[in-house]
Amino acid sequence: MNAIVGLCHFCEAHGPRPLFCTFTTDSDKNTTESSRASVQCSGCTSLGPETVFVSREDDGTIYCSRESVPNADVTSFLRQAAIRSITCEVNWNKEGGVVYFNDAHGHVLSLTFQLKDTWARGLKRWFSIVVLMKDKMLLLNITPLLSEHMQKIAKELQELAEVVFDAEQKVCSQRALRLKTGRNDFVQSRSLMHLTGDDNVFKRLHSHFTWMLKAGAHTYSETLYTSQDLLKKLQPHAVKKSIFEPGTCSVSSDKSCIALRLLEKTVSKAVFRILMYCTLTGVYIVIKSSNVDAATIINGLARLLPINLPNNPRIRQYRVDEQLPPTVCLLEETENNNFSYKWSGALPAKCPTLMTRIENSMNNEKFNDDVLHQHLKSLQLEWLGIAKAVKAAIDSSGSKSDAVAKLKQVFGIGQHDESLVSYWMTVFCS
Amino acid sequence: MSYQDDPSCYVGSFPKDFSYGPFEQNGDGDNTSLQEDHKPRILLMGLRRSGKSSIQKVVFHKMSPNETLFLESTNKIVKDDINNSSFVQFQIWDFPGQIDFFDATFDSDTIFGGCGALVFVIDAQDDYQDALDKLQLTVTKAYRVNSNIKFEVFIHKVDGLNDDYKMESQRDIHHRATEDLAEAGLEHVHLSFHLTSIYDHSIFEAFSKVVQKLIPQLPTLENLLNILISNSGIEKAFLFDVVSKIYIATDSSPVDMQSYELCCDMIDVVIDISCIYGMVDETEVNTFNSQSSSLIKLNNGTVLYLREVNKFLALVCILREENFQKQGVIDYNFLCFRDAITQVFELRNKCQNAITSRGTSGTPEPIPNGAADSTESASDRSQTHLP
Ligand SMILES: Nc1nc2c(ncn2[C@@H]2O[C@H](COP(=O)(O)OP(=O)(O)OP(=O)(O)O)[C@@H](O)[C@H]2O)c(=O)[nH]1
Ligand SMILES: [Mg+2]
Repeated sequence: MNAIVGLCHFCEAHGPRPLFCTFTTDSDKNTTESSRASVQCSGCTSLGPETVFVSREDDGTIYCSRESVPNADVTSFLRQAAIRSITCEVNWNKEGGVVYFNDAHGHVLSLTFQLKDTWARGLKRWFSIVVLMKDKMLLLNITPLLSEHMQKIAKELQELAEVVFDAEQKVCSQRALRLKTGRNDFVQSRSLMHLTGDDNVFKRLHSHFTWMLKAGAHTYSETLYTSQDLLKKLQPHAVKKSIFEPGTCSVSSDKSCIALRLLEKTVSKAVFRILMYCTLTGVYIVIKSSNVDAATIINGLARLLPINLPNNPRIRQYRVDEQLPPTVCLLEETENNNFSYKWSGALPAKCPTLMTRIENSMNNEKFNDDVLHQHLKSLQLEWLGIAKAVKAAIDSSGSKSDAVAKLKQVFGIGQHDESLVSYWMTVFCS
Repeated sequence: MSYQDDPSCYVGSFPKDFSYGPFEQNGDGDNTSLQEDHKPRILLMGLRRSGKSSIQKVVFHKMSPNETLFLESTNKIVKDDINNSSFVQFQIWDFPGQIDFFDATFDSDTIFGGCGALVFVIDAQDDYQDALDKLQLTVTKAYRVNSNIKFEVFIHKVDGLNDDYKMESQRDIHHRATEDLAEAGLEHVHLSFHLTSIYDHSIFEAFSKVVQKLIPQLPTLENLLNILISNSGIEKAFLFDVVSKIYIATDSSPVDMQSYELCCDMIDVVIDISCIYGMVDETEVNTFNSQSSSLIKLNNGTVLYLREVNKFLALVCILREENFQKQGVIDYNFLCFRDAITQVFELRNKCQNAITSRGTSGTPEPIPNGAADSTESASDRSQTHLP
């Protein structure tokens, strides 16, 4: 289980502090590195900086107990937990468990309890067992199991300490001593070994804490999913032809694939805009060229689409003597390598958002061609994602539904984007 | 198991609505959150083992000083509601000495925002350099949050010190603390110093002064006491909060420790007697009530006279025996005095603001002792209810 179990105490000299912790790891580094000695105080130390208790599983999991963790983030999280469990959180009983959540650091289950100590000012000392976790739901689910065991540990320690306390009181009653001398001088917080009279108390704790981590792992298992894994699991067909398709994110570096800016220069800006609009919204394009290879242009334009459709029927080369309807956009090479087009349609007053953004980035001189193409890919993937989401919404609640309208509003899809989105939905999202 | 979900903006700090369960509160179970009520708050701060919890226990919970040897080191802020009488209403926060509450993780606005007085306790039996450093830090930070805080420094545990050393350390602490503040650019912040110990009455005296500063009606009360003593031939009069034995007001003649101690002891005697013999039936908890009064004649010609004002307040007077001849007049004047105090209460409840000016206007004129014919007999002493 991905958690840290720690023991903290309230030192009369140093306040709340962690003194021992157990965690799972799979690297031996954690077992060899030495802890940083925090303070010279017998109460605030447990194993010492050099000692580490290690238990190994067959599958390579290592349960490791040590005085402190080398990682600075975890150390501060532990210190916070010590402060909060002992000095801030309150249970209805004087001793008791609390769960609290903190999205920034992590979530904590803690049990606070007291151990008798003849040397302590109040003849008792505060301790807490804390379980630190990043996964809130897992922590909540596992709380009943762990807290039961934590209570057992606390009880065990209390019983040990009680025996020591009674024996010490028999030798010399603190009450009588303090009343007689009228003072109560502070020596130093005693170590847990001293308090419980058990030199192996930390070994006990190591096995208890290890058990907790193991029991947690047996009860619930954590699986780390990438969003792709999740999508595959939830909706396998959604992954097809989507941004998760292998290779979708790679930009063609083929020689035959002309760079967009070069294409723009070749065909002139005005013509390029028409071509771009037609490509993005699925208007058929036919290319009639003499000097320039039509395939180059076809490949160049293909850069504008998120997924490379092999033999895209909508962009093709002119066949000899073919009659084209006027709705098809015909690109013709005239003399001197100039290009012109014939198309019954015209650019709308407001072009699709994606087209505007592509134009903007092409004009951005800070982008070289490679960066530009990479950037365009990400823009396309964004709109592909939008198209997919809209399609899913339409499939489930109908194209006229309120939900779809709202979703479009959220994505910022305006009237001018409709042609693009509906084209992409039919071609890329089926 | 209790659950608490807090938004991450209070990362590791006291959540704003943070409050302890009733088991920590020694008050009357009043659980209302601090943000709602406007009781002044007294903070007890200082290094660990300086004696904060002892002070709070001894003054407000009748703990015997010896028992403080078994107090545990405070691990949480302990909030204690004191609302015995309508005048003495405040809350005491006892802090753990080990924890740095100026750490960014604690919400210093919540801690110092509604605070009326900050009592900083210094252990005079110990090396106090660290304590002075901490004092400077505390005052500067607290002042930044709330510039209305009254700063009180208790030079504590002076019972173990001889008089010379006591004076010397007070002078030294005073000097160094004000110097430290000047260094921090806060020379205009006033610190009050008190020599205290839980083993004598000095702690009650010092706490009285702290509390008095938080009572807005203090001038009125002092004025009433002045009128009372000058008209009754009384030498010194204290208005006591019976439960804590702190005096919430006295007349304007100087207080000497001995007379204060004498009055404290008298209250103890009266309470003990009423507890032992005053119990009418088992269920009665408060045997010190509106009927209580007591008279003690000392063999040096001094008379101690105690009268209750209400359930929680008592007036204790010291006067010469010969001035006590006309006890009826004193009693009558006392009734006037009590009447006036009741009016101050009522007025305060009615309108908090105009209290000081209007509170005195309704006071019946006391009759000067000796100037008027005393026709009342001593048996009237037990009469406590106004017609
Ligand atoms: N001689 C003497 N001892 C005192 C006096 N006041 C307190 N003590 C002793 O000082 C010790 C510590 O007192 P506490 O009140 O627990 O100290 P604290 O400031 O609350 O300490 P923390 O809770 O750890 O911050 C106890 O043993 C008390 O008996 C005093 O006036 N004189
Ligand atoms: Mg304390």
